[in-house]
Amino acid sequence: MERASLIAKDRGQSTIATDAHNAGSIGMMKYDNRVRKRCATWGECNLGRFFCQPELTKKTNSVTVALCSSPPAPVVVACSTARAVECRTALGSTKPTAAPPRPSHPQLSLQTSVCMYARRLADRTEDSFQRSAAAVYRRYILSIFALFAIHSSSAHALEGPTWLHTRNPLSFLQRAAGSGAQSESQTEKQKSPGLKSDSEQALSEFSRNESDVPTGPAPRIDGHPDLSGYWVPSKQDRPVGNIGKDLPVINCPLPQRDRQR
Amino acid sequence: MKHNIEHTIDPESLCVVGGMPRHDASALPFQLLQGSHHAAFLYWYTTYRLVPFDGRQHDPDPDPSFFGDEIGTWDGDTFVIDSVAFKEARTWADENANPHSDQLHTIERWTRPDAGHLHLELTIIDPKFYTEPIHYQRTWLIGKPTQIVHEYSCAEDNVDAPHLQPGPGPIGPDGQRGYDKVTPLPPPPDKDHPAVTSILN
Repeated sequence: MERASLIAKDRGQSTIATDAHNAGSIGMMKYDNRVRKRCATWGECNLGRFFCQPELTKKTNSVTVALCSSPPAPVVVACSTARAVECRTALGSTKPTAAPPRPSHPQLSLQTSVCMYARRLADRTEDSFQRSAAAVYRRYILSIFALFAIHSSSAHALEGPTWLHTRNPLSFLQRAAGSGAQSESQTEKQKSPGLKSDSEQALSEFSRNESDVPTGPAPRIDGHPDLSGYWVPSKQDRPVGNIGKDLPVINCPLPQRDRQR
Repeated sequence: MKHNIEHTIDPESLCVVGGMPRHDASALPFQLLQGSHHAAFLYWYTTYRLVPFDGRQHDPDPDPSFFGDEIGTWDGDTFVIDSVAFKEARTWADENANPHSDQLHTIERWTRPDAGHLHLELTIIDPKFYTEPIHYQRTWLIGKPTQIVHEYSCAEDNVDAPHLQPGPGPIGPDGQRGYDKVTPLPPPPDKDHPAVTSILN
């Protein structure tokens, strides 16, 4: 632990503990740093090839700790990053050092930025405000579709302009294609049977129900299947945004219904 | 991973091409146009990639790119895309901010088992960052015949760029990352502060 602490200190860090962001990350990264250390699936250390069993992996809100069953002394594995992913190991303690207080959360900072930005906008002349607002709306024109979609979902009963707070303007489209698309707006259907609401039209752009998909053999062209088409994500593939989703060591923070799939 | 989360801004939010394998891991639809010698993947963000399958080999000295040097071949009814020569900087491997290096090598195996489904089996080989290949698969559903991808001018009036901070956002209950917290808008116009347009009378 002392060695690892020294390493962390040298890196300007007060701890070797990882943070909760790594909960859904790939646990098999390696990085050959200057001292040629590396680790793999939860603990291939230069102390020996100690493969930790996934079931022995403990995760908390602040630290991710892999406990090896061999050697007898438990190994605490933690990943830190300077320019890339590094893995450090330490012997002798089953408990990592306390996680440092997280710096201001990016999200909070983003909100602060948005508030400050909005305040500056309000302080400007009305004409200037109008131009800036128009620019913002153009920037997020696609996200508005997703906003309709999210509002149509009871699971995402959001208030206010959600799109203002995303750094990635299309992230809401992604959410709309995934979770937002799961629950249709029943009330809107009841209100206007036979007519598509705005949210339904928006959803139809980014998702489709399995039951609506045509069946039959794939068309062929030049002796091969014709892969041409407009392809929308399947709702049964989630979370697709993590390339490690199919790895056995991954334990994504999914709702219970998705864990059972 | 930690470096990307804490020190890099989502490249796509800065209008940098997402590249591979991130576009395969995207939750957005895409359009595929298959020709006789090329296949074109058209993505939202007004990004595309062209995959030749005319028998050519990899460029012996390719320039690094976000989609890599891509070569397509047919293995029976499976369309195989082999890609090498990727950029390492300003790119994420997926929406989760997982990294990849310039030694990335991806092998996509696309199949269309029936008229309504498109299936991908993706193998990600990156010996610089990962100890073993990563296998990833997913399925898309065919959209309606009239649906197409539309223009999205990402760089136009990107007023948010100076306010962006690192990372992909927290993992939501659905397993996807992103930001969905809400703060109120400025108050709407009223009679004391009416909204005006920039159009002169």
